[in-house]
Amino acid sequence: MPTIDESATAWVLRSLGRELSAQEQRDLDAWRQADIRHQGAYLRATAIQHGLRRLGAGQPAALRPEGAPARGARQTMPVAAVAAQPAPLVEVTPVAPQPGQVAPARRLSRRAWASLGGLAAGIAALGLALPMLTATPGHAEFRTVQGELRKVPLPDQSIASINSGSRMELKYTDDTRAVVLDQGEAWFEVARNKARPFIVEAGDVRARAVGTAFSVRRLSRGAEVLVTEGTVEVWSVRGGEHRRISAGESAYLSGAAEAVSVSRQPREVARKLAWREGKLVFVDQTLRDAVADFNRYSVKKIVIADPALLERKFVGQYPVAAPEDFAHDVSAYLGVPLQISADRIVIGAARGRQPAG
Amino acid sequence: MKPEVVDWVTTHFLPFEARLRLMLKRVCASAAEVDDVVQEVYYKVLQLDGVGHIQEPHAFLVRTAKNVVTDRMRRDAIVSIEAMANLEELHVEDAAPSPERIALVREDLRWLSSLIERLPERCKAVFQARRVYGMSQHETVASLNIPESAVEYETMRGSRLLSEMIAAEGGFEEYGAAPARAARIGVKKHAND
Repeated sequence: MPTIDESATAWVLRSLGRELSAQEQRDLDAWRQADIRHQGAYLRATAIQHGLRRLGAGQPAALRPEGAPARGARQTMPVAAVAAQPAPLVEVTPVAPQPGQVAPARRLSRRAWASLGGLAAGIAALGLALPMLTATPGHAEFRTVQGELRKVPLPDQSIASINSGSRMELKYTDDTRAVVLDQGEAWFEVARNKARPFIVEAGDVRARAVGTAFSVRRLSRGAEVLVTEGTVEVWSVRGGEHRRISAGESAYLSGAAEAVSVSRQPREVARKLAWREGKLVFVDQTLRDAVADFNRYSVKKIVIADPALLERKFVGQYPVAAPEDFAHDVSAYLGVPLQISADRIVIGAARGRQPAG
Repeated sequence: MKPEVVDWVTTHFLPFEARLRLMLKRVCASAAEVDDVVQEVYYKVLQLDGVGHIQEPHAFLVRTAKNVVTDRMRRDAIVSIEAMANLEELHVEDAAPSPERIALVREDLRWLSSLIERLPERCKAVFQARRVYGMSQHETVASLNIPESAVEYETMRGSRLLSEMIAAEGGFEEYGAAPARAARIGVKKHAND
């Protein structure tokens, strides 16, 4: 006969893995109600799984189990974690070259995405003059639909990773490399060229770099700039100060001519950029924020029926394309109902509704 | 279950559980009773409205355990005098970590990683993939190239072994390795009797 702790572990694993059937839910409730020790053990088992999730969330960038596992595991894990992303999420369409030339497969796996940097370098090494292949050199437009992430090599060997639901235009001239972010978010790995500054325009907000890596996210008011490497200068065309922000820092600009707010939180920058790995990472984010994040990537929206749940905080890590998994976990942790239909995921019970019957 | 309570348990209770069990051994009649008391302490924590008011997690847990034991003694009516005597000694002296330490501990789940490290090789690979990296069963099968039944088996086995290690060793060594004051947590015999 299993011990209480073993039973609790089995129940927790089952309820985190998928939605329990009505019968299973009744069995679980009965088991928990039978003995306060069961309830205690259930909390313990839940906390252990929570710790494991937190452990996973602590390494958002590349999901490398650092300095850790012995042979075998070390070989397989990073690749495994990378391959864990559902393949269709990533579609790669290099700017200038025709698909047949450098991107034989329209849909590349996450692994392929990871190696795209190398691909861009390879193109450069082959001496392909990319702008020559486009009708208007240096001009191009990129769009991503909801849930789509794209990584595109730019003509100057810079690389743009474009997040879900974004629109971006390239306006390269001989003097400047301008990118207009009309909507959404992109992360840029900028090829060094002091003579030709790289400038991202997001509404009235500007971010300028010479050789660095940073992201710009267009918000309903203003824009957010996150720097992962080097230094970026940010300002608003409406005036006000120019600020230099460096690696690990983030800046928010409203677009108006007011002070730029800069904060230094390298881990937070890494967390916010986990989308590049196809992940969403939460470290004490509220349910409100977490849901907004998931909803950026999916047409199937998560809805919180009970406003009382919105400020609850979470730690965890999920593929951007797995809102259902997230919803299951939330429902299991909070002990609130979950309803999944074809077009939406509803967490919690609506308040004030008449009881059925 | 309140997320902040679950998080508090992960941060403060799990790494301390093994230590608490050692302390309880002196006041409980059997290993089974230690299990019972520990589960009841978890239950008491589950009943809390919040954890924000808990200044000294270890002292709080020891106090709660003591109350559970006292209740059981009352209920059972038969208690060895030795257990009664030992109960008096059940306290944590200077167990409160400094505030910075709390911040560090919050971030720090190294104790948990180090326990996972000690799982058998294949079990560890599967367990990490499924429970730490959140890969699906299917993804784990594909990436580790092992049968589905093995993934299920190893995930369950890993969870069971981890649970046992937490009960037996917890994160106490990790605590002890850092500040000297943390090493003073425990049952202390008074010299003045």
